[in-house]
Amino acid sequence: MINGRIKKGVNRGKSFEIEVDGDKVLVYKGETIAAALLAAGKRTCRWTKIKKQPRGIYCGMGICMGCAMVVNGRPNTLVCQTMATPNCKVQTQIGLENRGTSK
Amino acid sequence: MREVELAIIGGGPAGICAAIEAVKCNVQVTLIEENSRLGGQFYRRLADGFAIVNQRQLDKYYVQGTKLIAELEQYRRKIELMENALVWGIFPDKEVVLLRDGKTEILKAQRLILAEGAYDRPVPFPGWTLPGVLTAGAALRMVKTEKVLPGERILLAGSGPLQLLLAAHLVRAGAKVVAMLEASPLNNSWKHLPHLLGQWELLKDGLDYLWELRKAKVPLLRSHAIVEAKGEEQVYQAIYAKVDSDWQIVPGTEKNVEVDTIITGYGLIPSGRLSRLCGCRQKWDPYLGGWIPERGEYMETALPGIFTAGDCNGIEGAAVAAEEGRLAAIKICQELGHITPEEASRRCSPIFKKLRGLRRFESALNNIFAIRRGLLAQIPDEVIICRCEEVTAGEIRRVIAEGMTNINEIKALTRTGMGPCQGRMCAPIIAEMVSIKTNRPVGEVGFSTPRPPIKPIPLVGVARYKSSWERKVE
Repeated sequence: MINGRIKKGVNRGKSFEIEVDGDKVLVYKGETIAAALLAAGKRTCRWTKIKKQPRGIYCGMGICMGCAMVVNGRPNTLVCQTMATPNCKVQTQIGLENRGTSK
Repeated sequence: MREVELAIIGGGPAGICAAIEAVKCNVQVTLIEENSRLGGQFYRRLADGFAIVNQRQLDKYYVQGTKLIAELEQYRRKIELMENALVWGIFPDKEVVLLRDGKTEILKAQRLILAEGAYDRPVPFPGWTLPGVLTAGAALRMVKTEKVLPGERILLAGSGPLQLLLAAHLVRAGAKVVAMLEASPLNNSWKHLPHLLGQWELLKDGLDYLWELRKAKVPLLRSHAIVEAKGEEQVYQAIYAKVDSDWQIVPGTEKNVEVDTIITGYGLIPSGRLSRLCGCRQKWDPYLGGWIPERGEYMETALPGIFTAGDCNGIEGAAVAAEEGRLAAIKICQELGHITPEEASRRCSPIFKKLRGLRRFESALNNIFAIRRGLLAQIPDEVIICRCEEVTAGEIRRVIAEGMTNINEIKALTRTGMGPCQGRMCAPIIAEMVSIKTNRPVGEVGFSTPRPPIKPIPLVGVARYKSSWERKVE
């Protein structure tokens, strides 16, 4: 799965890296974590607690909880509403209501 | 806590226009926006630090939004603009409680305009919770503001003009749109033509997008809908089929297509959390998208000093939202004594006239594209309806069969709507399911009662709040 950034006609600012489940992911300034993940082709943000199903970005506006991840140790962070910052640590989350055990 | 003259919640077209009108009359305005930038969903800004090489490639609506925000910027020193501020509750006496930088702040407003906007209507089908299935709003945002494609081979499924706009954006950005499914048959649309006439610009926009899709050879399939998304960790295939005039799937017409992304755009639902929390009386209007607050002609609710403007009052688009915001603000200026009643009615009358024309157009569109029953009647039992608590259609149908027909009863028994989204996703679907099963209008089924905090916030945010009632007790 190769999603990607739209190249035509866009100038982006500085780039940096964040860590997602231990892997380095490229980010441009101004992108949310969700955009960086989509661009890198990583779509599963969390696994549900009961049925162990994958969830990803659905509503894209901070309502549906599909994109809840553990960011810098903080669970239930909605990555579609969270700007990526240099070296931030993002982890796939398991469950919702608990402390967000990361994978 | 501090007092403000006018608090406007929501920095989309309605909120921005209200702020502009109010500040022109020297009202002390506080404009509160949840996101980091003004614009709302429709006028969402390009990501910070991004630049478009050729300004002429900017979407027309984007330019409109830029102009509107620039107009507000002229008054920047006179307006208190709170960005990244999440309103999580409104308490009696118009006490607005919000979270900013991890701290709770309380504003006591003399007048309040709620401009909460709307969100994409969730429509469940097998596989709709898989990564790779997303809403038109989410996709539009990624393409327009962060310049990321949500996928490579995309199927669009839904109804209405928003998915047309999205399809055009995706094609321009270089995505492969394998097809656009429009659930409406559109064969009766000509009946609404008289209502569409006069709004040439809006009409022309639609035709332009259609032309763009034809040039890109994107098949537009009328009377078709998504049936299933297949995949394990993400979507790899879509099944779609023909639907009848009630949007029921026509058996035997199913087709498979390899895709990595399915985007659903079945119109929008008004966000009424805050108006419901305040206790504004609500009414059910399927053509306007669902539950909406009752208002007078100046956008005033029955509660003193509380006004609502924009799509949270019914899905009528950015142009209507802007005018509603202006009306509410002018009325408030008059109530607070900044302008005379004569001046207010002089300013309002051209707005009323403009609104009539716009409304005729929007209601014709809503009539053509309003969601039909069949789509929700056929959800298989194993499909998850409540995404937070993982409750299936079968579990919900079981309690309906046991006689539970009120949305809050079903919530108590099945946990639907108890998760962090507080039923924003599932409650409208469940209401339709009850209505279908019991043959009662959705208006009688009710809506889930919102409670503060209306969005998940860190506990420390609540801990720092004391209502005026508690203070009085002390």
